[in-house]
Amino acid sequence: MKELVDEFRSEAGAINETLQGLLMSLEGSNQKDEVVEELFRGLHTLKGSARMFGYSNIERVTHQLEDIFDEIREGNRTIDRPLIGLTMEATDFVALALQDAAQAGAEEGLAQRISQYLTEGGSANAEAMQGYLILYRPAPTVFERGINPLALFDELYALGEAQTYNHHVEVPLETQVDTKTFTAAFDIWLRTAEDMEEVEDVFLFNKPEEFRVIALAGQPEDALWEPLETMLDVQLSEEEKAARRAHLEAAQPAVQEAPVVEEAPTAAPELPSRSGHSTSKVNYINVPLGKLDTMMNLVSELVSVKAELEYRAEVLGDTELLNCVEELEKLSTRFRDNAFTMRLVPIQLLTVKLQRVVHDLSHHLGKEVNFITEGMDTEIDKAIINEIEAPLMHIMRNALDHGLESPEERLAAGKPAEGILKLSAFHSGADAFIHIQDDGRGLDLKKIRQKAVQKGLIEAKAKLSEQEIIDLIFLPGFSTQSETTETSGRGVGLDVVHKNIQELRGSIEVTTEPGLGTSFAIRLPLSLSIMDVMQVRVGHHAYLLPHSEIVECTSERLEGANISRKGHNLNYQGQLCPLIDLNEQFNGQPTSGEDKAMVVLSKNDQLIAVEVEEIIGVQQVVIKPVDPALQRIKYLSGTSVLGNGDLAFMIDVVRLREYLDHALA
Amino acid sequence: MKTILVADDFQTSRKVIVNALSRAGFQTLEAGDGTEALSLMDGRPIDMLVTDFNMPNMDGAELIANMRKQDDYCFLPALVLSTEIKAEKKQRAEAAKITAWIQKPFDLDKFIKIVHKALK
Repeated sequence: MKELVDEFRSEAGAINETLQGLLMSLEGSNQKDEVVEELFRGLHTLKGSARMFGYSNIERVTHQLEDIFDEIREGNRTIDRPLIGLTMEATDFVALALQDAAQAGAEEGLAQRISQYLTEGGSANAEAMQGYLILYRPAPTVFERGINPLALFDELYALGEAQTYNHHVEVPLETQVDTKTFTAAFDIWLRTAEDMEEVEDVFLFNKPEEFRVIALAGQPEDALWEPLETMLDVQLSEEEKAARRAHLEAAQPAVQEAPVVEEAPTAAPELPSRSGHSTSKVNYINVPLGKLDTMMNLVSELVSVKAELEYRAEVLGDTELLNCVEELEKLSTRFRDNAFTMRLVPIQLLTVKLQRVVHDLSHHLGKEVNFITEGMDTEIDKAIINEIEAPLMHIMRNALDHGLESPEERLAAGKPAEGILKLSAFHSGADAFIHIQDDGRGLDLKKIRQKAVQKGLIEAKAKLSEQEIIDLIFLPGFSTQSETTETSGRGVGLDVVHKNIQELRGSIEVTTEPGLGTSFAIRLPLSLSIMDVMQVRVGHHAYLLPHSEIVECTSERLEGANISRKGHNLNYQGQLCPLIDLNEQFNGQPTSGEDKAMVVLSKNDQLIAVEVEEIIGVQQVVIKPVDPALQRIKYLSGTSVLGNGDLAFMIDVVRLREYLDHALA
Repeated sequence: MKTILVADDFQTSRKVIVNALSRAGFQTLEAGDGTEALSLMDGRPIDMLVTDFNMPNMDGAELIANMRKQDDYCFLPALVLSTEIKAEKKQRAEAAKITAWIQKPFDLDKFIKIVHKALK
C-alpha cells in the first residue's frame, strides 16, 4: 500500500503541475476550450484518486472546482481572474498536501471561498479577503541589483491593509556598514482581496529565496490587523542573530557571495515548506511515454547500426573489430532489454481502483463480495495498462451487476451468501493473462440467444455452438440486461471491450457454467513495441509475421505433412483454411523456388495460411507504426528496420484476407 | 523624464525596445554593444539599463559588472533581455547583479510594466 501511496503522490503531483501550467496558459490563449477541458479532467482525476487514497483535504478543495470547470465547459460560466487565482491557490495547496505538509484544516478556508465562488459566481468574491503572511528577507545585494526594497512596501500597501514588522537586526557599527549592502528583514501581515499571484508579483525582482508568501487559513480576523505591542518586537533566535551577524561580517565591499538567508523562526504559524521536496522521497520520476518510445526507437536504430558494423567487420575480416562488435552486441541487447522493462509496470496499479469499484458497487447493489486478487505483481507495458483499465472495469461491473446474485438468491441456491470475485494475472510465454472469475449465476445462454435474435444479430433458426452463443455478447448492440442499469450500461458495451483488447493485439475468452459462474480470460502481449516476429522473403522484400500467431511452418515437400493444397485453400490437418500466395498478391508472380514454404497462422480463431518464398527466421524486433501515408493499407500492421538496414512490413493476415475478399467481391 | 539606456547589437530588436520605451514616455539612449554602452555612462543621468546578454566586445554580464563599479550607476536597475537559455550564462548574469532577466520573445506591454516597476 505504501508503494501505491507514493505512486499516487508522484502521479497526482504531475497532474497538479500540469494544472498549474494550464492555468498559466489560460491568459491570452485562444484555445481556451481545450485548456478548460483539460483542467476539468485533471481536477476530476485528482479528486477521484485523492479520495481513493484518503486525502480528503485534496478532495475537499478540488471537488467544487471540478463543478465550476464543468459549468465552464458546458458554457454556463466564464473564466475570470478570481477563479484562476482560486484554482492556483488550490494547486498550491494540493502540492503541499501531497507532501503531507498541509496543516490540518488548512483546506477549510480555501474550500469555503471556492464554494462561495461557486454559489455567488465570483462577484461576491471581491469581498472575500485573504490574509497573507509575507516573510521578506532581502539579500544584502538588493541595492546593487538595482532593486529598491522599500518601493515594495508602497506596492503592498496599495493591495490592501498591511502591517510591517521590522526585525531588530543588531544595529551595525558605523564602520562595519558598507553603504552598498542592505541589512534588514521584514514580516508583513497583509489583508487583501487579491490572490496569491498578485501578491507574489510584487516581489517580481526578488529571488525566490528572498521572500515567501504564506496564505493564512480562514477569513482574516480584524484582530490580526490591530497592532500588537508584542509583535512589534519580534525576538530573534540565537541562530538568527548569528546568521545576521555573519551577513554583516561577510558584507565586504568587494566579494559579494549571496549569503543564505535563514528562515526566521517567527511568531507566525508553522511555515509550510513551499519547495519541501525533502519531505518526500523521490521514488518515481514521471516520464512521458513518448520519451520512452523515442528511446526504444533509438535502441532499435542502434541495433541496426550494430548489424551493419558487424557486416563490415566481417568483410574486413578484422578479428579485433569483430570482438568489439560482439561487445557492442551484448551491450545493445542489455540496453534494449532495459529500455523494454522500463515500460513495464505491475498490474497492481489497477487493483486499487478496481478494489474501490468493487467495494462501492457491491455496497450500492446490496451484494456481499469477497474480492480476491492474485499475481498482481505481474508486469505489463504501461501503455497496455492504461488501455486495459476501462475494459477491466467494465467486466468487473458486469460481473458484480449481472453475474453475482443477491445474498438471498445465493442462499436459496445453496451457495454462501458472500460471492467471490477473483482477479488473477500471470505471465505465460510472451503474453500476460488476466482472468476475472465470479461464482455467480453464469451466463444464461437461452436468454443471450433470444436477445440476439430479437436484436436481429442472428437468424432465429441459426445453429450455434455454445461458444458461439457466448461470443454473441461481444457483438455491437448487445446487452443482456433488458434495461441498462446505472452500473453496467453506459453506452459502452462488451463489444467495445472486445475491440479495445483486439487493438492491443490481445484476445478475450469467456467460459461459463450455469449456476457456477463465469470467467473472462484476457490475453495480452507484454509490450506493444517489441515483438517476436518471423521474417519471411517474398520476391526481393522481407515481410514479418507475428510469431505469436504462427501455428506451424510447413511445406508440401515435407513427407508425412498432413496437408494438401486445394486451389486457394489448404487442407490443414483436416481443417480447410484459406491459403494466400503472398508473391502473387504483392508481385503478381506465383511463389516459386526451392525454399518456398507455407506458414499457418491463427488469429481471432481463424486459421489462415500464407505462402512465402523463404523463411528467414525468428527474431525480436522493435515495431514502429506504419507511416501515415501507408496507413490506409490496413493489412500492414507495423514496420521495423532490419539488421541490414532494410525496412520490413508486418502483415496482419486477417486484415489481408478481408482485403482480398473485398477486392474479389 | 527618466532616461533608459538600451544596449543591443541587433538593431531591429533595439529599435523595437526603444520605440516601445519612447511611446511609454521615456527618454532613451542607444548603444550597439557593451563597450559603447559603458562609454555613455559618463556621469550623465541614467535611470535604468536595458541590455541584451550576448553582444560583441562586451556582453551584458560584463557591462553590468562594470556599471556597478561606478558610484553614479551602482544601484541602477538592470534588465537583461535575452534568448539565452543556458543556465550557466544566466548564472553569470545573476552574479553580475541584475534586476530581472526577461526571456525573449516577450510581450511589450508586460515589458513596459516591468520597466515601470523597476523604476519605482
